[in-house]
Amino acid sequence: MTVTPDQAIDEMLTVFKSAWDADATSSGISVVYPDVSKPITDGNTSWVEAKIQHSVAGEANLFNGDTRRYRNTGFLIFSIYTPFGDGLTLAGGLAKVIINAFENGVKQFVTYVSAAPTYVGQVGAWHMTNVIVEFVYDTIR
Amino acid sequence: MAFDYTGVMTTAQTLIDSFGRDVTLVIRDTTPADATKPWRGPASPGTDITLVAKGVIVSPSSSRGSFFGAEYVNDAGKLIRRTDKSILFAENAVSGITMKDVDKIIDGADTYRVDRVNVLEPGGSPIIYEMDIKK
Repeated sequence: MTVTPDQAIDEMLTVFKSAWDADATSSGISVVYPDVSKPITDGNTSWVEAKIQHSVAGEANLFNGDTRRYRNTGFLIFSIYTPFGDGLTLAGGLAKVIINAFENGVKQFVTYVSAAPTYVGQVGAWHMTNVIVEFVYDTIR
Repeated sequence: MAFDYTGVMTTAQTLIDSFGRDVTLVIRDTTPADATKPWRGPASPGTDITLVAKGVIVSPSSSRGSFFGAEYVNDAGKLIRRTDKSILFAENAVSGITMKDVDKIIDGADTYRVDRVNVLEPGGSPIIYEMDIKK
């Protein structure tokens, strides 16, 4: 199936938001979306920043005269900030919520190739954990 | 006995009222138009919070020299550009809003984005806010 980039972004972030709001571990923890709200500055507060990085869009079929199918790939990066010092307990739990969302969530147009956590380390007052989700979807032009 | 900062706060406000001018502080509305898609942002135009207050606009290096002690780069290590400014507010003039949430300063025809907010706060008593602002 094909989709527009806006529809793909809506689908990907809806998969994330549905799981994030439903899970007791993550529910109520602030989410910062791109170009909407400012980062959290309180070092005692956990938060997550959602980022979408498209990489390349290559033509995925031979030109048939009217339409061209392009394969879009990229990464969703969820940067989780948890107050430093609990031995990855909360960070690991929140990362698992995101990974489960993309491994088990409703998928319509977008395929999620992989989802894995990267423990970055201390950043200011927080421990930072990135969950990187690789995605693929097709557009028709 | 704890020092009483009331007199210092009054002096700060008197000086800024005397030498400053009215500017508008704007806190952008971030309430999403669609709660199920907060990444799509607020309705356009949103309902912003605004406050008019007296502020003194100075060059970033002069304010740093007075009480933050650095020039040409800010505390985040970013270079200060020639159009960057700092603006000072007395606590009493802006006590109705949360200063760290302010997004924009409108000074006549000029609109600045807020980069950072510093506060001179001895003994937990905010006296002066200094904002790094950029055009």
